[in-house]
Amino acid sequence: MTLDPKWTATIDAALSDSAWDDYDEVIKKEVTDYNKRFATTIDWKILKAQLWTESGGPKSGAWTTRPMQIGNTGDKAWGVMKAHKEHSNLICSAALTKEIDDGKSSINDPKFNVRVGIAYVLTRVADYGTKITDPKEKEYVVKAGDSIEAIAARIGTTQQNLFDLNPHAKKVIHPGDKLKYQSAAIDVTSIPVLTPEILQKRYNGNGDSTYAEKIKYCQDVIAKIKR
Amino acid sequence: MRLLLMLLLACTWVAPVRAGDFDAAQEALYAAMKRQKAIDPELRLVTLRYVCSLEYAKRRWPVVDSVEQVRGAVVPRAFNRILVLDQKLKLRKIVPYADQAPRFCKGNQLFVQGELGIDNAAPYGNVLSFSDNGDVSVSKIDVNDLPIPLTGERKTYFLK
Repeated sequence: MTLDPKWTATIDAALSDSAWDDYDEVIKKEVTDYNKRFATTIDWKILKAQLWTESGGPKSGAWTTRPMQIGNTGDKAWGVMKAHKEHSNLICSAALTKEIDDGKSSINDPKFNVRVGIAYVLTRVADYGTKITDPKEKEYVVKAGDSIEAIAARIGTTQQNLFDLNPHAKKVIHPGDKLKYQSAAIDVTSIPVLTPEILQKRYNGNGDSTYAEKIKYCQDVIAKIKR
Repeated sequence: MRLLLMLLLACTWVAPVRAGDFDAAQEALYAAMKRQKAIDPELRLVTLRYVCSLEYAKRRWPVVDSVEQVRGAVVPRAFNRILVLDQKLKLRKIVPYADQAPRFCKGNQLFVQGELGIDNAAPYGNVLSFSDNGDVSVSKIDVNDLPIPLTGERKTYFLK
């Protein structure tokens, strides 16, 4: 697929304009923190390339408001982050969580937007799994109207733990059935190495079929910058 | 004899399906989703299509693929969801997905292109199985072992 020449010309401008580096320090600091917390080796430059792709660069109105495009009208991402859904509570640092919760920072503050944006990117790309918090087996008696999903949320375990210990529950459960379970929660199992393809699939949801290609183009331009 | 022949013909007669029927069904689906706010008016709806119907708890459950995008974004980001409806088109279950896509149903199983996990957590797999209570469990099947859509036959004839 060929990228629009107008778009590539816009990105090429970064070679001679240091404004494209405005958020380097914010990205580096965030990535250093995530790499420490999750023992990963995220390359901050791929997130810089993604920021360029998302914002369109310093000449775009988004650059000084919502460079990561979180908080646009109708965007679910900001709602997800504020409600700590989709396991974003496991990704956000305590400091960022506090800032999101106290409501003092505006999502239109570009640096805050970048930080929330990175947290949302990692929320979308991370792998999650069940972590047993107490291996002791307990028992739950099914009530009328119960579902595995509702039971798991109520008794502090995961659907997978209930399915693992009660394989028959994959077919049907009846009131009076006794289900074994362990206390468990969803946890981050790993954050994969970020690639343009992973970002297109897991973050962009294939909303833009050239998303990975755009990030690669930005990465190439970033590699050529000498300042 | 003539009566028997007429009975046989009546049994095998299938009402013709017209293109307009699909349009009407699509409009009914759109109206039902809009009414239930399953479509976000602030997003741009790019796909809303009936995929297939699951069969569990002695009922049929239509499966719909829904893709919405953020309006006015520099690059469009998609929010993709599998919607499971009841026979009155009431939304019963939502399974968000990233780049996977629902392909076809066989009984209580929905086969997906790519792998996803319930609540976006492991195990990840390409088969979603629905229990009679409406719960979803995930398993994996090798692509070569996928049943054939519509007939459900296994591809074992390749080995014969």
